[in-house]
Amino acid sequence: MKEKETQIKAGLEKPDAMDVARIMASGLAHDLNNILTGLLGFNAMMLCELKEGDHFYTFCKEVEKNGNSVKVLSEKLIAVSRSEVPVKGPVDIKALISHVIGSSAGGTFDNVKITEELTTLPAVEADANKLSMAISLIFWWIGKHTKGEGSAKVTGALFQDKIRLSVSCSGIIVDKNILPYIFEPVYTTSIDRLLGFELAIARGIISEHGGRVEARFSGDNLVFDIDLSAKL
Amino acid sequence: MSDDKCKAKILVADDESSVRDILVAFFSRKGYRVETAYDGSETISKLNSYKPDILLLDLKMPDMDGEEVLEYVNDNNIAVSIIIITGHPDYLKDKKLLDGTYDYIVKPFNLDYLNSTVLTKLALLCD
Repeated sequence: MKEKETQIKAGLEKPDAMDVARIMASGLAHDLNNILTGLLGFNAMMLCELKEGDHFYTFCKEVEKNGNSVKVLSEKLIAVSRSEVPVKGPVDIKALISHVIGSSAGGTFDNVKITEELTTLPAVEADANKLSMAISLIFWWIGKHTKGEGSAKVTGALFQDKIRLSVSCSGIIVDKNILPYIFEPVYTTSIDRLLGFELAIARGIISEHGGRVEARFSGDNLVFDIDLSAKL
Repeated sequence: MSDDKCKAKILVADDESSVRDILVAFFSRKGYRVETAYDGSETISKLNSYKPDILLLDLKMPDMDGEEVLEYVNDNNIAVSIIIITGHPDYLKDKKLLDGTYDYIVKPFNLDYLNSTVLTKLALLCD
């Protein structure tokens, strides 16, 4: 990856969306780790001065717990930044979607409640961890681009040899004119720089699985259609 | 080893202020003398003027990076024990620094673990 990054920066190789996403994830992980060093380090020094039972000790333990959660996030960014070939096996797509929804408290992603109405579908040949990450990224993107409390529903259907998952969401604040660009890694409507890469990373992972993801408006609802090859 | 026996000097070379601050605070409280450098050029300057016993060296720094500092130390036979500190483990792999020549630690690190690594290196110097 580093060699490719060097080639891209030298203008010798054109980056695709996944390359850009990996480079950004790598840089972000590096920066997060620097900040965490100070945060967790000073907190550890404070803990040395406090005794269990002291209420400031409890506060510092909470800081430690949350700091370690961010550390896990940084490790996930490092994993995304590596060019790993997916390790595929048969995946029950209904179970995978349920698992992703269940991974966030109450199936809520930033005030958006996500539910699934999936019938029994054939398995897909996929790397379950990577595909879960792609679906999570789409859900989190929906959460960050929904005004107030919203909802999204996941449905699925079998078309010949493809499974189509459709994620229909209401209350999305993305302008229809921006729709063609939302999967591009440089697009964002927010100061949160991660928002420009979530869909690019998700699309890259789905492409690695031989699938595709597109977005369309159905009335006022934004719909993500994810097509994956069924294991028939 | 006591402070009377060996007043160890540490140089922290990192462009990130939060990393410099925590390492200065931690090692100062442990009784070490600590100085800092922001980039590769300042690191080399302080290697020559401050003459530290231990160099905690970040790899990604502006101006000259950590790898160039390592080359300088080797080319000029500078007597210093080096511990590489990095925010991304893959930077070590990319720069082929995993052959056992240097100790390294990945951020965010456990300070007590870093201290025990420093103590081990200092024990070799003070004996």
